Amino acid sequence: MSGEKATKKVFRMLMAWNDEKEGRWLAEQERSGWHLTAVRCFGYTFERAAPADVAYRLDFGPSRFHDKSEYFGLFHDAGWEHVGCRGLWQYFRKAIVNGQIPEIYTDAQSRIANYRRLIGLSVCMLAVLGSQTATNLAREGQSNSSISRYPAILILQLALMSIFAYSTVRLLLVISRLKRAKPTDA
Amino acid sequence: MKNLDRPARKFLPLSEATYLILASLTEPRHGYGIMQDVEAVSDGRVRLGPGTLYGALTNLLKQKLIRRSGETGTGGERRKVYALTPLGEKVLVLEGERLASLSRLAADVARRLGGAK
Repeated sequence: MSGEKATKKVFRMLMAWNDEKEGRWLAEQERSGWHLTAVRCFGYTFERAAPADVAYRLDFGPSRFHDKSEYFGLFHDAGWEHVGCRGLWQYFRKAIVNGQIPEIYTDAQSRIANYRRLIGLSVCMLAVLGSQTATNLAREGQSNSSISRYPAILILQLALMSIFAYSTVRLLLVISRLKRAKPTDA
Repeated sequence: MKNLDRPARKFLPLSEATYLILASLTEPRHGYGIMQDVEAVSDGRVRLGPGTLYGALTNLLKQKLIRRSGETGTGGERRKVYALTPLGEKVLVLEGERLASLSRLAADVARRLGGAK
């Protein structure tokens, strides 16, 4: 390749319970000479670069109702570069110096607290979808005319509900793993 | 003044990170100042990650153990400053007493075990 930089776009889903794995995957890309330049809704853009040892971390950040300047300020002060976001998931990276792997969460308690927030959101969505589905079903029982229109919506709602239920279970498993794990030093 | 003893006890025991953050706020500091201070007073043993610190500050504000106390710096380098509330001071003192009594016990235990050798 002469002069111009090669880029690649990768389509990749992000699963809430897999944030650590996603970070390891991005670090692996960086080690093999693909530098992350953009986080997109359904994937990433990379640019050819010299292989580097970089830690990538995803954080389920504050909601839109919070003042994010303080949040980003703390990460910046601690030496983390903000790369982009997907929804509320914020992507940060920091170079690994002398084999010292930096962490954005330095005790299990705070990491667990953040996963609990995520579970809260998931359960909220489940409740909303559940009540909607129940209303639809009740209405369907009453009038004959609407029955034919509802199956598709019903299937969609049930699919979404199973996704949220599944992610809740996976997140609970992540928490129980964190609780069992030896407390990291500091 | 209101007696803060009873409401303060609800927060005990504190996690190590929370105790160190509150202890660091015996004088007002911004978030980065807290990170540096905690690392210094713990001889580099405890480093607070930004995620951990942000979560802790948000909680402590919600629990009214700390409050915002203005800003330092200008422009892009502006940082919010935090300070203890009277309730936060009380929690810090009570936790200190608890830790001091544990530490007396620890010294005693070390003596006894040393003597048994």
